[in-house]
Amino acid sequence: MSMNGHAAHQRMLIDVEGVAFSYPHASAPSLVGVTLQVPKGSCFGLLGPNGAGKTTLISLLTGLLSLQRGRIAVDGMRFPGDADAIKRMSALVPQDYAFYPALTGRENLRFFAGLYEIPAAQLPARLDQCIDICSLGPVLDKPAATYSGGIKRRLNLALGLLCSPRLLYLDEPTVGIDAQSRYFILEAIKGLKNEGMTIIYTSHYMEEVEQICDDVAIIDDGRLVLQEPIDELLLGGRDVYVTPQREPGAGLLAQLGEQLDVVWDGARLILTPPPGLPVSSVLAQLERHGVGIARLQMGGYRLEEVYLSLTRTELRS
Amino acid sequence: MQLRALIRKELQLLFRDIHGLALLFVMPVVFILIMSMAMKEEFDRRSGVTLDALVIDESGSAPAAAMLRDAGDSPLFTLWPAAEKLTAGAGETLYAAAEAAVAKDEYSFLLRIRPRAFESLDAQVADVVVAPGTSRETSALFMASLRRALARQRLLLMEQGIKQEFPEAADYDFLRVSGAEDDDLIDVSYGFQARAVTEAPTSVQQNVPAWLVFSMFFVVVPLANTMINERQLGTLRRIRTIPVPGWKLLAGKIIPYYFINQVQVVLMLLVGLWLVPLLGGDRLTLGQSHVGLLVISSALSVAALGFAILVAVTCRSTEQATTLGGAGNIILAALGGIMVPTYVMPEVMQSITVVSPMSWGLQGFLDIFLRGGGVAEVLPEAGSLLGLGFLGLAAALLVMRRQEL
Repeated sequence: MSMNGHAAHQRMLIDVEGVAFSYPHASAPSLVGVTLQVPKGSCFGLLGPNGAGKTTLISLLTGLLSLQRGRIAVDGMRFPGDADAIKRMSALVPQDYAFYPALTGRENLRFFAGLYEIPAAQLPARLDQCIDICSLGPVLDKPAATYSGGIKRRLNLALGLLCSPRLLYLDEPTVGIDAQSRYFILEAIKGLKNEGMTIIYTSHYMEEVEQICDDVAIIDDGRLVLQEPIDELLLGGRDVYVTPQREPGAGLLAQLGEQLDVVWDGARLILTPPPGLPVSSVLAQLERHGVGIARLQMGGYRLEEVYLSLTRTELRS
Repeated sequence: MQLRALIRKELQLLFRDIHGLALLFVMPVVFILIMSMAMKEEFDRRSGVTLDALVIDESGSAPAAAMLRDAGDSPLFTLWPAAEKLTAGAGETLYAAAEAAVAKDEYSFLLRIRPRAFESLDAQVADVVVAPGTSRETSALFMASLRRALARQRLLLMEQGIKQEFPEAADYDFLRVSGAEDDDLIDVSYGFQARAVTEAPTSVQQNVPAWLVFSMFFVVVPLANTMINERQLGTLRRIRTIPVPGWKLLAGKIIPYYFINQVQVVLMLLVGLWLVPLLGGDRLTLGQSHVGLLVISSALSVAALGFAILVAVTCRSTEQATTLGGAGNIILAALGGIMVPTYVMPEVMQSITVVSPMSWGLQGFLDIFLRGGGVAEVLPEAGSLLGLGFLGLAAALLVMRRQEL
């Protein structure tokens, strides 16, 4: 390994190499030769359609499933030998409300704190910290079954933070909650990231991933189809999206088409200027043709477009 | 610390499950009370509890009084002077009132000693009226008891006459020679190996251990529901991402429910000792061996928990577990002599009861309560229950391992 390669390796918290996994009696493998790296302190978006293999990969990373082929290293430690040490430094916040509805929030926190073996001297401070981060104070002594969806999500997150993990797996942590709760949880996650926690984030809400993730990997049919820093992934687009005040005529589209690629999608003009042609001159040209601009979006791909282009658009089972 | 957290959580969940608590504690108490009272008479007849007989002694003679004392010594019958128990109505004789009471099955027999009963050896001695509800076997026993007492008095009368005629026979003990006084001349043994039967079960002695065993197996419902909910809610998945050894997860289920089972044992015994007698039933007798009681109740608990955990891991939903666990328990109870006492079953059915672990548990309790048994006597049943329990746990672990893949 070169010095540069070694340095890069040291920056990675998770190193997955050639991982394959098949469930017994399944007709197709769930993961096929997946290789990816997760940088320390990053928020890593793990995307893919339902059944793509995300949950299987997270189950392997958290030690819920045993590795069949390939290699997984977490902070230099490997399964199965270092399983306990890896589990101690990480926590999973599942998509399900993985707590006891009959117990109060406080009882749930105390139970999981007991499993994490948090020393009694540290317990009050740790509980307070998790309660503060997730703003659970007012409902803490009520049965969890009575909580709203948003509070249940926050309790789910708080339980994952109890052990002060260096690595946090968040499996669709904002499913089924209102905009305010989602905003709160995303802000909390940003705060955790700023404190240096490495976060593996799965979601079907692409705008959330764009908002909080540094890197993104897309899995489809058990195969890794992409892993890139999100900035680089989205910067590739140079399209200009123009919503005109009136529908452009065929003549205007033909004239524009002589200078640049242009598509009318029924609502927007999607313009792709050739290299060297500034966007401002394109806009000036539109004005000269009397096209008033109601809305303008500049450049860049949307993650959803990239995602759909890579994973195809057909429905998944 | 992990084990303590798991046990505390399990107990917290159970104490908030009002239906589970009712199933484990209220249901068996209700069954014990209802069945102990409802079956009291049936058990009394079979268990040798004394039957009441009314007596009218019209002779007033010393031999008649001695005969009644003799007959009254029988453990099977209690003789009551009719005048103490009944009051004749206007224009009604005491005999007629007594006859009416026996006809209504209020007493099992009416015994009337005739006025000139012992005036001569050929005098007619007594009349007996048998109640319609009294079985032929019980009548035969009563008559045998009476005949024995009568023969003794007549022998004494004969002895007096002979000694008056032949003074040289004054030292001769006719009674001893006749064997009428000597129980040792006949050896009696009972059809139970290795230990003597002290008595057959009373209603409370059958029903307390029976419904206790039944309720101990019902831990299947709350335990399986908790485990299935943990699986469905994803809680188990979350727990398994924490380094908690598998044995602690299992012990975290077994220990609290073992404790619950033992609380059930204490509570049901208290019901038999205090509550049933308070309501007019018999008092439960506990036997002598408290260690034996602990051994059999612990083994029973292991068997019940093995069954419960196996149901929990094989069922996919709480509905399935409740149905399978509940129906399974009822079938085991019906087969095991819990709902219907074994001795009223036909011979074929009696031999089938051995397939039910509930029958092993019940017999273990009866060994102690009834037959004066101790640890050694309950070891066969306890061993079978432990074996079955560990087999259930091993099967459950195998299923869990397959499910994890």
